[in-house]
Amino acid sequence: MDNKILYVEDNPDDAILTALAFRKAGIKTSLELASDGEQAIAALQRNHATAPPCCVLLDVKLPTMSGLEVLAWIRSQPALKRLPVVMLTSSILPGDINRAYDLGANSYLVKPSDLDSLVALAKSIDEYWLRINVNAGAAQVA
Amino acid sequence: MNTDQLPGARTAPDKSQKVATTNGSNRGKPDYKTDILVVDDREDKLLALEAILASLGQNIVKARSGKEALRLLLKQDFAVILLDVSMPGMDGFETASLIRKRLNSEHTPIIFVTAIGGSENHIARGYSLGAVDYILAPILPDVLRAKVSVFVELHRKTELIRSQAECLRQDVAARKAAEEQVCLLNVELEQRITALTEVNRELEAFNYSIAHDFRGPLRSMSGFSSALIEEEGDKLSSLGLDYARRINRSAKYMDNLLLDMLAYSRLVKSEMPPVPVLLEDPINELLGILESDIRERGVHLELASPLGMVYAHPPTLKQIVSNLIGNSLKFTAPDRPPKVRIFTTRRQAFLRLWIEDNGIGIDPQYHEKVFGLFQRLHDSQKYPGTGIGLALVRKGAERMGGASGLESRLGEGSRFWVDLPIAEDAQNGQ
Repeated sequence: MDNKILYVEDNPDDAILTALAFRKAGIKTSLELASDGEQAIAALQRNHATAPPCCVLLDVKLPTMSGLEVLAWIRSQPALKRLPVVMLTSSILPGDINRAYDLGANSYLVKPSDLDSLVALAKSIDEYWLRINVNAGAAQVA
Repeated sequence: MNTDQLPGARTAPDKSQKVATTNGSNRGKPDYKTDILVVDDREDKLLALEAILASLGQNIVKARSGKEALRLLLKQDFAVILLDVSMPGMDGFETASLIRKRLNSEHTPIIFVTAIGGSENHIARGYSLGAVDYILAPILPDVLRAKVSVFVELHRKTELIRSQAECLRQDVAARKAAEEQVCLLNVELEQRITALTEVNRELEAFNYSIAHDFRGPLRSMSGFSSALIEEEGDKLSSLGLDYARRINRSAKYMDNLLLDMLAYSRLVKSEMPPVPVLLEDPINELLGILESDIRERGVHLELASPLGMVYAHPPTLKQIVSNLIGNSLKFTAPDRPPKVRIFTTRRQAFLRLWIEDNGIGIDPQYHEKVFGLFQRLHDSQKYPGTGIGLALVRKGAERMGGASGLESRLGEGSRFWVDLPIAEDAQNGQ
């Protein structure tokens, strides 16, 4: 399994800041950026047989295809049913949160507005979704 | 023959004119005068009958022939008709049969007055024509009055019933109109509700836009200014670093402002089902979060347990308690060690939660103002804040069926209070 995170984000500022936060948190895992839903699906289709990502960070509000639609597509793919998907978004609408979990999101994180919190969030993503979960996945595979 | 041409006959139409204009609403009243029609071709007999009946206090209308009587009956109705049997031309019997043929006089009581009398046939004919009584001459005044007064009374009562029925009919009509009015108002109200719901939906979309679209750029300002300070700070002059910190502070302040505004708008529109809450729970939870802050500031904190149980919406109660305790820790006086006391008093069906401090206090003229939205009494350098905190306290307390207020004097500390419905039953059940 390749150590790579697919990060779906249309806002370039957020993309840079999240990448910075991951670096500051000391996370070595590389981020592969997709700036809309179609790009994300294309990347998953291209790679999932050979080098699937270990985790997807998914924004909700995206141009044309929404993050929730991307999530639904991921869960419709038998090979991607267990892929960890973390929603990383600024939407705090209860409707969005509930729908994301209904559609099979593993976690729903609200983008913090300051860098320190973003670093802390990156660390928690790393600790849970990139280590514990990957190990669990590896154990399952074994 | 042309008796109706006699000068005396002119009185009758005048009288009928007067009766015709009588207001219907007077008809049922006790002082309402009924009309008695007296028909006789002889003036002396008319006068005699009028004299006998005068003491009944009713209107006496005189007719000198059957024809005139019929004409009068066209214009008005009478309580009773005294009808002379033997008149030239149209006699009493003929007149009576014509009176009975008319719809509006078919039930008018007729008393025949006659000097002929004696003959059983005569009387029988009178009754067959619809006479209700028969008076034979010589007339006994008391008997005549007694008989006539029975019909006067009957007529009065009939009129009373009729007027009451009319009143009822009008009442029903009025009620119907009122009901229609209510229906109309309901429709209007529903339209307004629909319009308001629409406005609310728009406001919700607006709030979402504030949460999402406004916070995005703020995140960039805050994030990149932090990155500038932390990553590139060594390349910046101290002035450049100061500028970057100011940008960072402002962005964070604006973000807090937006979060408070969102919290306030959620408070205004969301449902908040009340549940019994032990006041200690949210307060201890909050004091746990603030523990290091309390210790660093050297605050002497006193919690008068047990505080009691209230009906509240837990997240809103937490927000209120957080804002009040936060204020008591923030507005401390520089010249004395800060003290905060949390206790409750009982006020009928409410429990009053007090948060008392020995801080800078608030001039009484600002006591109401501080609960307003965006109201601040101090510059943000000295005491930072968004000016929404106490507005949240007030709105939250109101939404939970309670109230809020404060007692304070400038320089002497403040005591803020929140009233919430007491949850005594729930407490006893524990």
